[in-house]
Order: sequence, then structure tokens, then C-alpha cells
Amino acid sequence: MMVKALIIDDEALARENIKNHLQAYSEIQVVGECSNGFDGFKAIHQYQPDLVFLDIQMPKINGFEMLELVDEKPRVIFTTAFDEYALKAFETGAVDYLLKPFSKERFKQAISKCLAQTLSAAPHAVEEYTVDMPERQNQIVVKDGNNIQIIPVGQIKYIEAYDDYVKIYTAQKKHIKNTTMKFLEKSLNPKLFVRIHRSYILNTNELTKIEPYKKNNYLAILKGGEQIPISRSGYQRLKNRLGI
Amino acid sequence: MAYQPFSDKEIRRFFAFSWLFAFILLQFILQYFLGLSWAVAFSDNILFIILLIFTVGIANKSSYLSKLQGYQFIPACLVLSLFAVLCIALHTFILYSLNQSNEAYLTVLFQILPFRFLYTWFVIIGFTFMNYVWQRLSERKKAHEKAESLRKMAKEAELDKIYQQLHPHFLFNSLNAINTLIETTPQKASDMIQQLSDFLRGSLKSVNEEFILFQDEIQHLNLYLALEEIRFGERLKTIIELDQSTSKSTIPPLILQPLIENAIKFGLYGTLGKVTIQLKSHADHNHLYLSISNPFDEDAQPPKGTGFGLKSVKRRLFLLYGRSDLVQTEKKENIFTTCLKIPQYDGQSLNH
Repeated sequence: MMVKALIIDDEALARENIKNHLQAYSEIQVVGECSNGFDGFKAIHQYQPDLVFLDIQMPKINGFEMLELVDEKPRVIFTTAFDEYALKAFETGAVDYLLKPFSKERFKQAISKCLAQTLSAAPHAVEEYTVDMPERQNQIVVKDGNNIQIIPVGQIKYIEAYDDYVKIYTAQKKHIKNTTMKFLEKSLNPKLFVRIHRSYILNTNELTKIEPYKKNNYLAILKGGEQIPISRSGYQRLKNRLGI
Repeated sequence: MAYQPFSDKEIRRFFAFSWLFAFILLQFILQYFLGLSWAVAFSDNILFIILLIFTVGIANKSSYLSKLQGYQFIPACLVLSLFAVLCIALHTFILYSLNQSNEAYLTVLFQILPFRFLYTWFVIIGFTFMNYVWQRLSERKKAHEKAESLRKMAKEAELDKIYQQLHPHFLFNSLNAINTLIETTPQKASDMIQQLSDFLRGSLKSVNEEFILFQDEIQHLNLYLALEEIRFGERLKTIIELDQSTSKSTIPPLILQPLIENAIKFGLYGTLGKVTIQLKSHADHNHLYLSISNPFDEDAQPPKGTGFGLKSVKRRLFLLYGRSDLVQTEKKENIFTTCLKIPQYDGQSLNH
């Protein structure tokens, strides 16, 4: 059985290096190579590769951000010069994490691991990010049909829980993304974003007024006139944040 | 602000005990050696101790003594003696007024006056001296701690600079590229190793220099750009325009490089297409003018570590020239430009 591999890296020589290494493995076929996450995202949908070699630092969106958007996640071997992302990489369920430059032996190890997983056809579940202190996000990437859209966090008005998804509201439109409120609450800048309700995270810059609503509850009125409920504990957090 | 030893809990406890001890001792002397009744001895003693504590307190709080510097011990002793005299005088006057009918006591009171004065004098001088020494010691300790923390900060800054100098990610990515070239085109790999070595040597050397020739900086920059162009291929293009007028200009090292790195990071990681980085320069008698421009995307978030470069360059120029108008930035139609003015002085010597 052929293993389909895709290489995503913004440096041509780095891609070539992986291709050279792969020549020793007749069972692996390179189906494509891409120089950024946008092309990579499209190629994953097009070729449905079994294995992706993924660089982390790439133009506009990094390897992690691209991977977040892929529904049917392939096996991933990260290849990067940064050693500080190894933990995060394994939390996304990566097969291996190759530090550039890597040796033939180290490459072989990674491939063996990957092939072992392919043969046993183990269900490949990508775990939720469980880190307590995720890296601060300053942009969120979302899918817009087959395209990728980047939302700078400053443009987010508020975020609403939606089953296993969240709805992200900006001035222009709303986006849906497969992530959790808990993760967003932790990874967004706490100086800007407050979890004001079990189902809502608010950008405090958008707030114009807080109105009482029923007993013990409040409503946040936004600049655009939207009304969002505030829970009792959310009200406390909001008060602490605004210093009132 | 002088540090008072009484702010320390243990010292406070020590003083409380020593005053209590002095009180008991004096009471014993007055009662058994001088034959005073318990009540009279107590009233004498308690007033004496209270006045003494007050006098010591006031003497040590006086600004004259806390500002005491060097060897001004004689005037200090005179002032303290005056305090002792005042203390004794007040004590004697009060007790004399209260016990006018008690002849026996008054005799004792005047008899022991010289001893009392000596005792008071020693106590006041002793306390003041201890306070003085304590203050000196704690000041020295504070100064030492401050110097230590400054040294630590300087060391950290130095380490950070060296780390920046080595460009770890740039280095490892370049090594990775060399790794590929070794297999495909060994001659190119060899060339790249040479360029990388020259670049690293240049970066490490410039740490110790205050000013270098602008042309040398450009040469160093070219090595860096050549390496980046190998890594990024056609995506990266750099145009450097050097005016004849800049041939003698000087520049502090590592001013230009972080800005070019910024431009490349913004260009390569902030946009998808081909990136042209442009450096223009000219000079007049007083200044070297530089402008660095790169394409950028309005919506893109600044890549990791880019704000740091611009800020540190601004700070360095401010520290060197005391001017904050030397760095200007502007955004125009997706082009981000950083403009630099480097003052040129005749005395801006090159350390060869």
C-alpha cells in the first residue's frame, strides 16, 4: 500500500531535503509540496495525504493554525528549527517532531513511527489542547468555504458557544470554528477579553453599557447595539477587569 | 532617607530589654547604695529613664546627625553633650521642684549629678554611634545589592545580545539548507558555509566596536542577505542603493541589521507573494540618511519578535545621541518604510 505524503515548508531547499530523504522509501509517494499554509490547506483537501511534513514558521499562518482548520487530520511530522514548540506539537497528536537540520537516522525513526501507525491503522485522534497556559493568540484563523481567513483578535466583537463549535462575531460577519470556549478564554488576551457568561466571551473594547436584567443578571450593550447576557460570576469578572 | 535600626523587630526587642535592665540596675543602686526609699527612688529612676529615651530618640532623629559625613566627630560629640546636659538639667529641675521638702534626697540628687551626667553622656554617645554604624552598614548593604542587581541585569542584556547575534533560528535553517545542498550541489554548499562563517565572524566582532564604516556594515549585511536569498530563493529580492556621498559615513554596528531583519520577517512572514526589500542611503555633511522599505499586509499580525528590533534600535540611538527624532516609520500603500538619520561628527572616531 502506498503512503501519500505532502510537504509544507516555505523554504525550497528544506522541501528538497525531505524529498531527498524520502527517495529511500519506495512505499512513500510525494503527492505535492506547498510553500505556505494556505496552499497546504487546499492540498490536504485535494490529495487527502496520509502523512504531512509540516514546518511551523510560515507566511501569515503558521503550521499549527493551518492544522487547526483541517477536519480529517492526516499524520503529521513537524520539521522546524524552533525547539520551543515540541510540547505543543505532541499535544496536537503529531507523529514526530524533527529539529532542522536532522540526520538520516533520525528521519528514519520518524518514518518508522509513522508507518507503524499506518499499518496498525490506529484511529488517529487529535487531542484537544490541554495546556494550562496556551500561547497568547493575536490572530484566529477560520475556514471560509475552501479558503482560510485570518481574524486579528482586535476585530473580534464577541464569541458565542455553539455546541462543539464557537461563533466568532466581527463587524463584517460571523465565523464558525471548531474549538472550545475554555481554550479561547485562556489563549486570548485577558486584558481585552472577558468570559462574561458560560456561552459568551466579550471584547471589552466593544462594550458601551451594562444594564440590569431580571434579578441578579445583567445585559451587555455593545457598540453595534447587540445585547449579550452577563451571568452573575461573569459580572464579577467584568467588574474586576474594568476596575469598577 | 536614613534607615532607623528601630524598624527591625529584633533590634527593637533588644533595646526594650536593655532599657529594662538599666532601669532595674539604677533602682537597685538608688535603693541600696544610696539609701533612698522605694517610692522616691522609683520616681527618680522612671523620670530619668523616660527623659533619657526621649533624648536619645531626639538626638538620633536630628537631621544634623543623620547627615553626618566623614570625621565630624568632635562637633557631633559637642552637640550630643549639649543634649546630655539638657536632659540632666530637666531631670534635676523637675525632681528638685517635686521634692523640695525632702532634704536627704536632694543631697543625694546633687551628689550623684556628675555620675549621672557621665552615665547619660555615654548612653547618648553610645546609642548615636551604634545608630550611625548601623545606618552606614545598611546603606552599604543596599548599595551593594543595587550594584549586584545592576551587574546581573547588564550580564543578562549582554547574554541576550550575544544570543541575538547568533540568530539561532537563522543559523539552524541555514544549516538545514546546507544539508540539502551537500547532496545536490556540493560546491554551493561549500560557498554557503563560507558565507555563513564570514557572517557569524562579523557579527561577533562588531559587539566590541562603537562605530564602523557604513560600507563595512553594508558588506556584512550583504552576507546576511545572500544567505537569506539562498534560503528563500525567488521570493526574496533585495535592492541596495548606495550613494557616493556615503563612502566616508560611519554608523554604530547592529543598527541597520535588526531593521533589515524586521523588514524581511514582515515581508516574508506577513505576506504570501514575492518580497522586495529596498535600502536607500545618502549623506550630507552632518547626517547619514537611510531608508528601509518592505511590503506589508494591513491585516496581518506582526510576526514574533519584530517589535523588539525597532524598539531596541530607537533606544540605542537615543542612548548614543540623546535624540528621539532619528527613527521615523511610515506606512504607505502596503509599503512600510523605516527612515534613519545617523549624525556624523568629526570626532566620531573608528576604533581600529
